[in-house]
Amino acid sequence: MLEIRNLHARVEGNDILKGINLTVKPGEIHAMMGPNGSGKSTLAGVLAGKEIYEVTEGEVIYNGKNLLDLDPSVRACEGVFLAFQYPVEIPGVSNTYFLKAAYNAVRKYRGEEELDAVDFLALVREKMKLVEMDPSLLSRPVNEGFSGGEKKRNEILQMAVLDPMLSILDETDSGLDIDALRIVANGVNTLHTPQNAAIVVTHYQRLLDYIIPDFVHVLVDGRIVKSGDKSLAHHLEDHGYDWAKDLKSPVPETI
Amino acid sequence: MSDGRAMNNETAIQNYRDLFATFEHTLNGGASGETHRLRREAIDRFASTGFPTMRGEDWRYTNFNPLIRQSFALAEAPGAQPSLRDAALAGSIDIAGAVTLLFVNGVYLPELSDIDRIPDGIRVTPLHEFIAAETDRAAETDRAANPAMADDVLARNPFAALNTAFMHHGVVIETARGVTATVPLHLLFFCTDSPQPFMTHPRVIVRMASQAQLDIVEQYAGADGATYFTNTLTDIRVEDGAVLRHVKLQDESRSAVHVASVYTSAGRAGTYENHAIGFGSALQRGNIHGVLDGEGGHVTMNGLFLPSGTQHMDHFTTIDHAVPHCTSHELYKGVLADEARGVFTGKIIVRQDAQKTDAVQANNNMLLSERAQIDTRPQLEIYADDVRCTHGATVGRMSADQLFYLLSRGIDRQTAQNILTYAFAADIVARIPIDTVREVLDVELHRRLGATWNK
Ligand SMILES: Nc1ncnc2c1ncn2[C@@H]1O[C@H](COP(=O)(O)OP(=O)(O)OP(=O)(O)O)[C@@H](O)[C@H]1O
Ligand SMILES: [Mg+2]
Repeated sequence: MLEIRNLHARVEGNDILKGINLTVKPGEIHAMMGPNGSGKSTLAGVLAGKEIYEVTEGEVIYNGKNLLDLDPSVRACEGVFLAFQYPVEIPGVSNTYFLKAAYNAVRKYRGEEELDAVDFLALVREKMKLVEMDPSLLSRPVNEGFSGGEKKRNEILQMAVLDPMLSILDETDSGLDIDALRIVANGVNTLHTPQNAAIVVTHYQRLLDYIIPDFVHVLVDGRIVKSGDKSLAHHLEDHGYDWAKDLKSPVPETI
Repeated sequence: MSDGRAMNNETAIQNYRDLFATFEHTLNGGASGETHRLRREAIDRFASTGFPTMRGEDWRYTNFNPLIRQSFALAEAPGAQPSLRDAALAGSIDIAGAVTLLFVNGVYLPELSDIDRIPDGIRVTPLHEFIAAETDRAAETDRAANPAMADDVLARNPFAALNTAFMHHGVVIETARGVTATVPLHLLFFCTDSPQPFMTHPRVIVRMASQAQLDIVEQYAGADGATYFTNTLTDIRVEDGAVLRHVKLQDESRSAVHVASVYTSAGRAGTYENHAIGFGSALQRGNIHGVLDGEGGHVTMNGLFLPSGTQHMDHFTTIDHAVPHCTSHELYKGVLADEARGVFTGKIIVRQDAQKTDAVQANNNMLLSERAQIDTRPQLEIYADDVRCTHGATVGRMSADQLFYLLSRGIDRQTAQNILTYAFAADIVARIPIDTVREVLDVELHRRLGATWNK
């Protein structure tokens, strides 16, 4: 589904990603861990098409297409979804209106009929149960004044509505209390199928108790320096990143 | 001056003098009396200055050369064919229940207006009849009847002088004391296409008796591509405790020039609200001058302007707090695309006696293109010490983060920009307190943003 080859990217003249290689197949869940500033959000942003990142080398093949050639909105329509580490507030645009515009844009791209307001509302109410979100958040402007946890739930609600092929969750667990963490993780698990895949960026082993990854990668200074199964996450929890920082070159183990 | 040669201000002045002489002849018996003395004074005043130049402090961001280069004939009174009403309504907003008063090429046409539905307690009189009656009420056309116009308006505003010189067409709207009109008056000014460029100088006089309440929607529209010059003047007096909610929609031919001067004053506990939505013309200048001369009075001035292409839209607002304990609230928003230019000047005067004044002003602008330009200047003249006055101006571009958020959810770039533009602009429409008007303008804004930016 996704093949990242030797990906280099910079932002404002600084090299951040320095040769990422990663293969994601349908049905897989990949955890991406690594110290602050190592480039996890940058990788997520490059995949979603954020313009401030300049790709200087390498390629990304997504379902046979060159992902980096696609406009961000086309990537989304093709099934790429990024749950933001810091969801953006959009005053003046109601959450429902936004969700409906996004949902129908994707439907239209797929050649499917757009849903009317009534049917759409029914769909959203159904999906909201998954993340146990307060319905009053639907009529409020997108993320405006939402608590940290509400913003994260809203991201998962969008994911549930858009039904993506490849979800990239950037620290969706941070800022969640323990109940919310369980709810969000449960939502992600429910949405997971043998046909789709997820890259889960996290700092905490805790999340991986709920979302069981097939692979765990350690990103340090713009490179994946170690990959393993979920036991790698336990190792990180116990020993931190210092040992990994000494690993100069990528050491693929499981891939 | 119809040979198309370039004119300068001197030749333009002579041209207007000639047109005034022609106009005088058409008045027959009307060319005497107090009102006509005022007209003559006004043409002399205009002749002494000509059109404003960019050297004048109050006019410095707008070039009126299009008015000097082009000569405009006086609009001829159209016949009252019902087809005119159809043509005007075809491009008009449809306000549920509103009483439409139709003006074609600046001429009020009662035959094509809903005069049989004018609410009880509201009197609408054609301006020329009002003047011809030569009763005491005719003095209402004079400056002294409205404190907002008393301060030498003919000298300060050449467009007000020009409108006064050609004062003939328009309406006088008077309310009885304490009356509450349940439906809005919709004054629809429509200009037809004409082989020769023409000008109109309509005047609307509104006299709100004490405790009366009325909603007025002024809409200026024109046939696509028609070349004309609208120079309108609105003279409003709000007596004690009266409430006038005044909405203006300006959406003229993109070859037209639109100049509007609104002079309004509110007495004790009177409220005047102005909500101006502008899609524009080639060139647009709006002057709104509000005076609070009775304690407890309130003025709202909100505006939204959305020029695109090479449109130029200039707003000059003044709120004059002359007495204590009054409030004013002003919010203007500009959305400027392509090579459009916008100007906002917000003058707030707080006189020495006007203690406990509470005045809030803000102007926020969004530039959708590198070449769009906005000049914004708050001008606060505060002579009292115990007051609360705040003002703020912002100029920004669309947020890249917000845009990316929408894109990342599959919404295409153009639609995403439209959504964010709407989100910025809709706030002004949302503040219009008349439900039927707000709803129809909200739909209109939605449609326009799609049409203008969805090329
Ligand atoms: N817009 C930007 N301008 C300048 N530097 C940036 C920008 N965005 C990211 N960076 C830098 O790129 C590096 C990688 O940042 P990134 O956000 O990808 O890290 P991260 O691994 O997600 O960290 P965290 O765990 O703290 O979320 C950091 O040093 C950061 O300061
Ligand atoms: Mg990050």
